Amino acid sequence: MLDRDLLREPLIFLVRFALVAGVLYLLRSSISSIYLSMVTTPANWLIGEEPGAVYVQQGHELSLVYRHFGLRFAVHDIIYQNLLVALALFAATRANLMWKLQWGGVAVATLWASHVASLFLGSHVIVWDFLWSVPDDVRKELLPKVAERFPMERDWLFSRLFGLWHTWGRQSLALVIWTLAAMPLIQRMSGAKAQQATRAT
Amino acid sequence: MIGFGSLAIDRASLRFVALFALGLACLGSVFEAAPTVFQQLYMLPVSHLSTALLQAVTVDAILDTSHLGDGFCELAVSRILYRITFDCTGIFAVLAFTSLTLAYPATWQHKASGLALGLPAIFAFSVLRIAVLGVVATIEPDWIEIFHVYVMELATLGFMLFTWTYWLGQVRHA
Repeated sequence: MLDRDLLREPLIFLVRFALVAGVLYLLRSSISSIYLSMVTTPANWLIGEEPGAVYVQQGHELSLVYRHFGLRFAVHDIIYQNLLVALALFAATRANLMWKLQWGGVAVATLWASHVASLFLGSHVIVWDFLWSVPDDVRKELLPKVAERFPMERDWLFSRLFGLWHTWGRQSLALVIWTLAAMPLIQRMSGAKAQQATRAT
Repeated sequence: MIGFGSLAIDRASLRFVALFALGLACLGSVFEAAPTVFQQLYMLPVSHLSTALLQAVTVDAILDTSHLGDGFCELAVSRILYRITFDCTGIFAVLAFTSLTLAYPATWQHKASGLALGLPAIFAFSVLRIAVLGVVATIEPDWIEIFHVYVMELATLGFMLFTWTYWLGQVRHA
């Protein structure tokens, strides 16, 4: 049987989390524009001039342009979905404002670095994914040009890292930062509720 | 204590988070090494039950499991084909809940009761998640992307943490 006293605090957390996530969703376009401008420049710097891959931001949309091959890809905006998850988690946690700001800052900085790194990996992975999907004759023509700028031997490693990051890494990182920050608070919170429930019985 | 002010971390929290991350990495490796087990024990029942739930609410839903070996099922909702992958079934929440519960400093009896409470709850939520996506696909197909990548993703994570913090309360209560 579910204990009503023990349910209250987790339920409050869930409602606050849902409300904050909803508000963040409504503000998504604005957050997107600001955030993309923060990741695009360092990602382009990391890629460098030589490969000719450039991330181009247009408002809240991001594209990856390969100047030497005449290719352009739209980049899905879920790269920062875990950022919204982390912000919602920190905002929903019952803690003082300073705690939220400081830990929220740590989360944003860490996730920002991970997003820049994933955009760098993406510049390699996307062009190779494209190359494997085209007909043989087109591939034969493009392959030497692509391999010259995006070494083929890196493709295996970068594709694995990119895939693992997308499936497991993104959410895990947000969750790990939040758990690390919130653990003492959660223990205190559930302890207090448990004491109340004990007194009630 | 490591750090300062609000950013201070105690050793117990650090140990717990390290165990959680390690557990999640191990479970993720098991998943990557033996996806067939998860396809049969998790994806297949979730897909079947959510299809049954959709049919129960009179949504025109047909499930095709012939691609299960390739890592997905196909769900036709109102004659539009959707691919159910592990991402859609909230597998991350299952593995994260398991790791969080196993990493927490509690007795093995408590951990077992936590898994017995949480895993079926998350499983049921995942069935509901696909069913909700099916309903959205019927009512407003344009919203499916938003629901898939944002709404239901966050709802699953929120529900998983709700279940886990409830279990924490139970542990402390005992």
